[in-house]
Amino acid sequence: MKKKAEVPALAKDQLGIMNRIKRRLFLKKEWQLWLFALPVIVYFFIFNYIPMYGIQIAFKRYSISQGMGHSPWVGLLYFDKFVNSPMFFKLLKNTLVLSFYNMFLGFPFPIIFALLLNHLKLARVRQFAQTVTFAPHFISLVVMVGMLYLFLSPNAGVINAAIERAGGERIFFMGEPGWFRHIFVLSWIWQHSGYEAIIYLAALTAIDPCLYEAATIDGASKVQKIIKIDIPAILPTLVTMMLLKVGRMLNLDFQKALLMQTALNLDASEIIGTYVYKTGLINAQFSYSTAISLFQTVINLALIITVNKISRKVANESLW
Amino acid sequence: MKASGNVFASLNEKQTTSDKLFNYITLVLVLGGCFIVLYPLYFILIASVSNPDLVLAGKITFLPREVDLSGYQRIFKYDPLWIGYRNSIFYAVTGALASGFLSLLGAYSISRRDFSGAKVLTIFLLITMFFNGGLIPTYILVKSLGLRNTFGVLLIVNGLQVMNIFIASSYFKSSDITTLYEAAQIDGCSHFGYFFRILLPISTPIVVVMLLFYGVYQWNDFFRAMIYLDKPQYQPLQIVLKELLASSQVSSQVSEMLSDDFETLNAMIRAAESMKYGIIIMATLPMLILYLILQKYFEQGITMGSVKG
Repeated sequence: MKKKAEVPALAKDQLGIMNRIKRRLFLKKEWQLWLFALPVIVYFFIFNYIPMYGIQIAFKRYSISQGMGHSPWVGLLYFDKFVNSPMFFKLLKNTLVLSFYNMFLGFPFPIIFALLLNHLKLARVRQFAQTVTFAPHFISLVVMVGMLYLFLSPNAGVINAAIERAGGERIFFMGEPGWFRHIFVLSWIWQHSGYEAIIYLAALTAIDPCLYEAATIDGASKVQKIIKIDIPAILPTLVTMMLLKVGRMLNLDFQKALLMQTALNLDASEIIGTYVYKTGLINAQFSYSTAISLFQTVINLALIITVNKISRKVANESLW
Repeated sequence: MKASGNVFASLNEKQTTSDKLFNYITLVLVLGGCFIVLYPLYFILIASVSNPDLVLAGKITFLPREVDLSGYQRIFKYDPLWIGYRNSIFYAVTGALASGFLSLLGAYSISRRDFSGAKVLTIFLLITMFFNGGLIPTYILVKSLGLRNTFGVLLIVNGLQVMNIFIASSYFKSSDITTLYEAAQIDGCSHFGYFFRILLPISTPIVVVMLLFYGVYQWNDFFRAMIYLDKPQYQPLQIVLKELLASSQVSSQVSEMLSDDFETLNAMIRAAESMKYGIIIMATLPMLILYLILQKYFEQGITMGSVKG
């Protein structure tokens, strides 16, 4: 069916292509499939590809009155401005520290939890634990951060009430840069560990029970089974999750950082994502904001490509 | 089989002490984890119905004391919350139906191995996962399309999500539907007939997963509403909540609302703080109930997504 037309003449060949396309579209009813996909194609073209074209304003002095096409080119002016601005190192540091902290502290919890659940004999307890730990995932970001403000409030929060009763000093948790990252990461773990554990559990339940039986006969302890059977089994999932996380690393939950931001903790809570939002939509510096955001996207892409390469070499796993 | 079953039974009886210890530690750790997750939620629930002064003094731990529903009474009288509630239900239901339907359609076409455009389309979608225009170019587009401050903007912007389309298409790929299609085709069935009359009715799990994922997203998201909507009558619940909860100060709206009831500022702050517990319950309960009813589907959806992106 895919054999090329044998007549060498160009016109004939083109005719052959046309015929093949026609045959595909009508005989194989492919036009119906294109029609199925049409809304999706149009949607992503408009809302994802057209904004990509709009990235050009990072290299232009964009003004609304002149429009995107007629604004003058300024080259790398805004990138230069960003890299040389006093905010640059602070933003980079805050973003990287928060990302790494969140990634490395957040990473082991779901895995350990999944491993434990997998070896739990009591099916009822296991089901209960899964139900409970998955639930916080459905709490919205606004409510999650609202809970933090509520519990940690200096004059009305329960945590401070407990601290005071224990003889300590009240702490203004949300107003101290030193606390910001801990609160951010710990609440992330609280909210999402159960959700991520489900992904690892899926990989663990796919393990052939024969392996455990064989290991039992060989006299392996449970810990040995975890190390020799479970961990190799979830390694592909683990690497994929790691890669996806690195890919999202710099634009990690900036919305959460934004909600957790107070005038007092800015020293730690101002990350690239929140700064892009503020320069762009609060101060309306469209070109500058787009340049910063592009800077972040490029670093993100570079990171994910690098880590993908490394993991392909080391663990023989990759995203593509 | 029988013999080997007995062997394992005897092996299980002769568990080593280290394995027994391991079992106990596992149980304790898992239950401990459950407690850490559950307690804050439980605390919010009992705090919302207890005497605010006792809550603030840290005297409520495991049981509600001096049950006081005045917080809820104030919440019920707070109109913006109900407007937000109404809008969010609208966004979640309409968004789930529209986005879910279009995603399933697209997913079906890229899931067909005999479709010559499947690969191109997959790449077309995959690119958007790793690279996008970013905040401002998207904002400029939305604004120039005249979508700001319209009821539809939250349904449209980020309305379709690549990840969900891929989840659905991998479901269609993995379920054994090709032979079914061939049989249907011999009977003269078109893709339309096959999709609507055969495939959708037997694919309840993925239909539910799509509706849930989009619905929960619309219910929980606040950022798009924050940047694209100014008018209170369009705002979803999360924006109202943001005003009420996500700030270290008592919002001006709440203080206006309470100023008649309380004489001192301090008493007012305390009342406002305790009201927040009830607000959290009101805002989160629908999603948690939905989750408890449809938990099976949520778990399926996540597992589907992780199998192949």
